[in-house]
Amino acid sequence: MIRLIDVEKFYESGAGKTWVLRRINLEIREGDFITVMGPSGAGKSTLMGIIGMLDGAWKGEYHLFDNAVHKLDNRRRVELHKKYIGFVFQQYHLLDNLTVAENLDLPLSYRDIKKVEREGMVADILDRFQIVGKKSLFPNQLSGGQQQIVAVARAVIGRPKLILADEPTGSLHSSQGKMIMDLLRKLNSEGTTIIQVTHNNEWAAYGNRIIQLADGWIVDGQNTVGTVAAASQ
Amino acid sequence: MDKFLQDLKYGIRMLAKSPGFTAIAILTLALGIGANTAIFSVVNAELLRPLPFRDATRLVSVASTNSRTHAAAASLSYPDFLDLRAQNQVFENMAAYTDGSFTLTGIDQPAHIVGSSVTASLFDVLGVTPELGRTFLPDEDQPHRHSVILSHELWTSRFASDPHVIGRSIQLDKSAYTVVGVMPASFRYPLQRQTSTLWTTMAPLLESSDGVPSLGEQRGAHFLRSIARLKPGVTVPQAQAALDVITTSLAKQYPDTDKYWGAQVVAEQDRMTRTIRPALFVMMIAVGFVLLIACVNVANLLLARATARTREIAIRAALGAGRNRLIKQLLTESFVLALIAGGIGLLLAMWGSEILVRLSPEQLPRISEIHVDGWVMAFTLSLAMLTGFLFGLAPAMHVSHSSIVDALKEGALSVTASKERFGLRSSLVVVEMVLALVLLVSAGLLIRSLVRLQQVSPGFDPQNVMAASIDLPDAKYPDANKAEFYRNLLPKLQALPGVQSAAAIYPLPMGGDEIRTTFQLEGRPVSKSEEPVTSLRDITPNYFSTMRIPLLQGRDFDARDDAKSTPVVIINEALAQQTFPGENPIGKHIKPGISVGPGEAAMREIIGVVGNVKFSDLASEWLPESYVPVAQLPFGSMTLVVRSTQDAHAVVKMMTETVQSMDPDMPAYAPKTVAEYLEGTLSVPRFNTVLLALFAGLAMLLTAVGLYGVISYSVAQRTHEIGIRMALGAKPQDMMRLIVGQGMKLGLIGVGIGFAVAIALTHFLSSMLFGVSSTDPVSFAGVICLLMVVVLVACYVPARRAMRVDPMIALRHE
Repeated sequence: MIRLIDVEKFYESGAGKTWVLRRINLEIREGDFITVMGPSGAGKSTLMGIIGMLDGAWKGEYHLFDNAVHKLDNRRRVELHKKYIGFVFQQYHLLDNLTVAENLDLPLSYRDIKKVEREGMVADILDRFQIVGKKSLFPNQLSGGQQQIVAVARAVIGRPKLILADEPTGSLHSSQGKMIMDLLRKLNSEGTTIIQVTHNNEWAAYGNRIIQLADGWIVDGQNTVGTVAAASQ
Repeated sequence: MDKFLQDLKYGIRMLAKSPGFTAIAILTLALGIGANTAIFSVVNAELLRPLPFRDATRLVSVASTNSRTHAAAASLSYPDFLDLRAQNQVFENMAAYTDGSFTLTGIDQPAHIVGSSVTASLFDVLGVTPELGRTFLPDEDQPHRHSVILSHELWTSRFASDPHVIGRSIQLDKSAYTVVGVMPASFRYPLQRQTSTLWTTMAPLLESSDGVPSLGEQRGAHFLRSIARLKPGVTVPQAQAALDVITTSLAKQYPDTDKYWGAQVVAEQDRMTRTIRPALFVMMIAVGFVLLIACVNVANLLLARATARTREIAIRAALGAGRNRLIKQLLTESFVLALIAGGIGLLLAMWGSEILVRLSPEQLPRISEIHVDGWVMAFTLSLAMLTGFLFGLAPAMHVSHSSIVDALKEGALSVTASKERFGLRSSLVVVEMVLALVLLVSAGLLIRSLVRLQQVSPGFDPQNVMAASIDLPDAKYPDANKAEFYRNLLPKLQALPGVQSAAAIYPLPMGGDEIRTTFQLEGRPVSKSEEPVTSLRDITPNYFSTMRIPLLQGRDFDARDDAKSTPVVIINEALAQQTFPGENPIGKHIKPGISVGPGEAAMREIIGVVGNVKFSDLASEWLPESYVPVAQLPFGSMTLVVRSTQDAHAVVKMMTETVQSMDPDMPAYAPKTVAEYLEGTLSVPRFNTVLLALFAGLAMLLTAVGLYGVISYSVAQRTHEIGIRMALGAKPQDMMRLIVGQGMKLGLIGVGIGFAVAIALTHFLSSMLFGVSSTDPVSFAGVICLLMVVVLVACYVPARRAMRVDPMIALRHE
């Protein structure tokens, strides 16, 4: 599903280049539940940004299904993003001035789906996540766990094939965290590929593979590098 | 459409969520849009809206020019008009008219009526039809055919809307006139503020008594304005060329009177707006600047707000919103803001244009047409959309360029983005300073110009002098009786309580009327076409003492100077110096070319020299003037001037009663102090100055607010830095210096660029200035000092805040 070949990212600074990611080679199969771990500044969020196509300034090759992302212009990347990817953030990142239903509707509205159809999809997801009673509330009227449930619901409403969850439980206490992780596991069991970033070993164990990053390098978990390298030759 | 509605809904919700921001932004924009709309409503009425006549673009004004006196847009004589009309092939029709005043008697109280004497063709040229009856027939221009057309207003007010008024005989100036028509309520002509309420034909002006040529028969008597309708397809230059041929021929045919006269054809609308166009142009630029400043302020507010919204925009991008979609969303919000501001601006403009109408000088034509119509609303809507785009674009582009990944991290905005944004905001403030400086300098120049103008002495003392006019109708007062009337009236006025002195004159200085004539010098014959020109005034004895015009040589007129005595004249200093340089003019003789009654004009002995008097306005040059006694040149229309220690209203009442005690059918009209006449000539420069000063003040206020916002934002951004500095031993005064220094730096850059721009632009004001140059150093220096003080004040409050920063709190800030 995803192949990254020698992906690198750096910032120009006065003293030269500051490397954020170095020679990332990675293959992720459809249905995987990947956990990315590593200390602060290791490049985890940057890697998520590149896979999620929020960051366009990097080198190397990125293949998503049959699409060579590195060759696409920004507009095509946005299209690809809309088609395949859903995001879950540590800070939930719900829009404060939109209700739960409106927050859920937002990604659909960016996908050119007709209003009637969108309303049906929002109703479905509210039902599926059992948050129908919260649909008219604003984020600041919800608990942290409830907000993250809405954020996950928003990430999956467009039926993405890939969910990128950047520390989805980072701001939650353990029982709420477990609820979210169970939700992600359920989505994964239904076929959605999940890449999560976490510092928590318990949540890391929900995945079927752990990738360790340090100073921009993959230091563990790159068991597919050889395969990718061979495939690229 | 669905997306647009969604963006609209969220936009409105965003605005409602920050009521303080929204209110300031809307108020700022509404002031800018309101000022622009108000001025546009004037421009629309004056310059853009076609004249309210059929095919108005084909209407042209025909005036005289004089290559010797360099007179442009002067009046025509009736014989010249007739020749131009008969010989041209370019006009469908041509008409002439002159202002007139009439005394209407026999209906209620005698009333003074402002009217016009017009050629019968006028209504046909304008393409208008009457509400009742008919317009004039061609043969009604002939002598002794006294017909009159009433305005709707006069018909309703004086004739109770009598449907049978057609054919009725009414008394105007003691002569019988037959009402032949009533014009519709919408008809006004001429299109000036005090418009005519009745129209008579030229007939009375073509009637002569005692075999003397009437005014209308004299080729040298220029008193008519003319309007013509171009034939379809004929252009103004073609018409001009055709009239040039005719006037060249007339100059050869009548060298005595027409040698130096030509004709000038201009579009009628251009003629009417010629004097006000430069001022309107300047005002449009001024309000444009105010709007730009308002836009810059709102753009700055939005940029500051963009910092808070970076996270929201990044989330939207992470959820699949493309860059264009984000820009559209932000612009939709800007448009919502601008449209609300446009609506309020429109209300402000409706109110503002009413005030403009009230304050506007009499010289502004078509004043009644100034209102908010469809065009003005379309202008406001376009302006609102444009401003929404202008102030919304920069923040939208800026936000959509922000790094999404950075923005989604905690701590949101990067230092670099923050610095970039501050740089952009500072640049916008510099732009504001430049625009404000140009406006302030312009206002400063106009204020200095107005002060200079007010300091000019008119040559007389206008204080405590009341003026009111009377018309002695020829039918009731033959020439000999006119002089006698004044001889009897003036002592009665003089005897009124509190009256120090009384006299009569025509035309009154600053009154708007003018008589110019050529004159001959005894013993120095020149051909008639080369005779020098003088302004002529008809006065009674005591005029000079009443107006406190100094008698420099010789004597004033007195009872000796009657119809039978030696014809006499008093000249002013300018005429004495021009005609008799280095000589004593007393006892010399001149013959002004004007007479009343049989016989040619009299050679008059100069018996006195008086000081110069400003004739039409305070900015005008001293003109050569001659004064003749009313006893020797009896005019029916005169203005009574009374110097009194009494209240003006009481004096008017006494003057009216005194006049009516002598003739109950004689109204004393247009009562006004001479000081008010003088003030009237200042109304245009004062109007321009007040408006520009108002806009400049608004610009200064908005700029101060903008600068305050940027410096406050900077202080907030630098709180951490300030904390470190203070922890390292900086004193509060150092922080004050740091922040004020930052503001002053922006101020100096703005002032520097603004100075250069103002130097380049203020020459457009030259035609509106009197006694100051467009690069007047006092105005520039004053404005620069003022602006720097404003900068200082705008920086002081945030600087005080910086002084009070607690290092411990500040260091935890980030």
